Amino acid sequence: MTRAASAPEPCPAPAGKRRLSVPAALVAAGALAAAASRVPSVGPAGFEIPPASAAEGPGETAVELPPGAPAAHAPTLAVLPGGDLIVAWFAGSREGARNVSIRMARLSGGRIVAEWESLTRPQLERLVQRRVSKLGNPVLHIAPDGSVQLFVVSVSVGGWAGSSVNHLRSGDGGRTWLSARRLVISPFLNLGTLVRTPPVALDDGSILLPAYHEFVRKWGMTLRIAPGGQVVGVSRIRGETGLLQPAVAPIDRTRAVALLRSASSARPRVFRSVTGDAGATWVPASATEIPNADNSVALVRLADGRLLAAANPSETTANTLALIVSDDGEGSWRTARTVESSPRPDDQFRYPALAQSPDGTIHLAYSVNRKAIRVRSLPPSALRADRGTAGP
Amino acid sequence: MTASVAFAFLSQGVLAASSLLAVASRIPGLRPVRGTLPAVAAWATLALLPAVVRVEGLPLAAHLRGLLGDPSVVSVVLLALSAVRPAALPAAPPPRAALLLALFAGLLLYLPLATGPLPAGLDLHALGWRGTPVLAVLAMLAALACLRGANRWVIVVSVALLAWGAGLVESDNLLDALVDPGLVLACAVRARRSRPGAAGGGPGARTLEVGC
Repeated sequence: MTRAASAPEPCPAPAGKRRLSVPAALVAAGALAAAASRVPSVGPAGFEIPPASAAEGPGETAVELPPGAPAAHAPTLAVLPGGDLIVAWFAGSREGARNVSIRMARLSGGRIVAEWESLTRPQLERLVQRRVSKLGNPVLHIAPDGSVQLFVVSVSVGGWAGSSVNHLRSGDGGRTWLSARRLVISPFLNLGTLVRTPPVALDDGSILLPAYHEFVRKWGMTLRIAPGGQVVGVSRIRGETGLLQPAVAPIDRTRAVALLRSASSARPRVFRSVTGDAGATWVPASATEIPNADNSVALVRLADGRLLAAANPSETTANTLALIVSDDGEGSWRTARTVESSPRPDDQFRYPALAQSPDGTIHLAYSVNRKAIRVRSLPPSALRADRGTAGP
Repeated sequence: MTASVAFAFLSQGVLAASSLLAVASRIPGLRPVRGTLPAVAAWATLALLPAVVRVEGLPLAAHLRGLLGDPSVVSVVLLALSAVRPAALPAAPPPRAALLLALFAGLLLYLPLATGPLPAGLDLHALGWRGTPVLAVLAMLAALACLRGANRWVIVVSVALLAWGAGLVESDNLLDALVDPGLVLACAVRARRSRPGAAGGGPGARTLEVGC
């Protein structure tokens, strides 16, 4: 295969006058047609808004899930078609360890009916046929056919800035996974895309998945994903640097609000952006009056039309977790219920996730000191108990 | 194994085999003889190995995918052409340095706009999600290239479009089938070697040997 070194081969002079090549033109036309066949035919869509409801739901419950490992964090939850709740979180010896797996639990009427290890790192490796060094945030989504889908962050090399997002589909409620696909979002080795909060449904069957970028710079974005799993658009949420983990809730068919965590210690606030075209574009994010010390925020549209957020309303700690309501999604937010409040500044009630059942029950999941996952369920009337502004 | 995974494994194999070939060409006293049957057979064997050899229960190609990401189809085709070009045929004329520099400058702007170092007022990568604007530009460029007789570039890009259209490329963004960071680097290296007066086509600098 080799021979003794010699002088570089001289390149011949360019050929003289060239002529139109019909075969090349035909190949190009065929290739363009083949590529055009994969181009998605999606148009503008609107948010799916469920009919208004004032259902009240049963009383309050609180459940602590068995963490399954010394460290448990980043819960996500979704309501199954029958009304049961499914919760997922990551658990392992510590965040970022190779033994971190995605665990799940199914709750019915405030009781745990099943709890299992749903996805391990080697399982994801086999599903996506790619080396995976660690698993990160999971995000649950229930497809229109009732099947459980999971978006999960994984890293092949390095830290979280090297993340990418995988989309998995289950046929048995999240116990096993039929297929998995890595979403390619960034052209630079697909580095730096993560998810934390659940998608919102669009009326053409596609979803808008909130995501964020963490490689070199941090910013929020939404991914529009077609029913077949194809990414058909990415919209950035511009604003100050360091805005991440957008949580999105629709106001009406075309308008939605995104609340973002800020990694900047100079502006310890929750940031807010809005879209007027169902997520095709977002206005630059600006600070709200809600204090927040670089902690994840959850957001959901309630059946009565109000927006409900869960956040740690403090500029320095995460030892308080509150439910915060806005009637219009605009500037005014008020604390409707303080869920957790500890006198110990080191206590952490972080990474909240929110959902509402068709019977009106509001579900809130969050991690306790990164060691346990707590799930609280409460009726909408419980939000009226603790009025006050969300400001400092 | 899906067709998309098989294609990705093969792409990693081509990347690995061509990299090894480039490294071998740097060893004093050795110089790969490209295009001869034994050389092509050796290269093809090397290209297939990562899909077959297993490390920690995964094909080596799966580890390489994790480390390097999937290269663009254009890069893979250029590397393959560079390796299998029959030795009896003359090398393609080197691309013009000005053309390569323009390509390099464009790509240098494209990546930072999409990944963060530059403020993202204009994200060219976003055009690839819907595909249609990119296809319209490519159709015009293809027509121009055909008129100028630059058939090899037309074929290279056509293969990338066919692979993307057939669903062999993991990314839903058409531009990811055409461009990757390695191609940017190759443009820079090749442009440097294509300067007037520079020694053309030195060992290890053949990734853009497709000519104009």
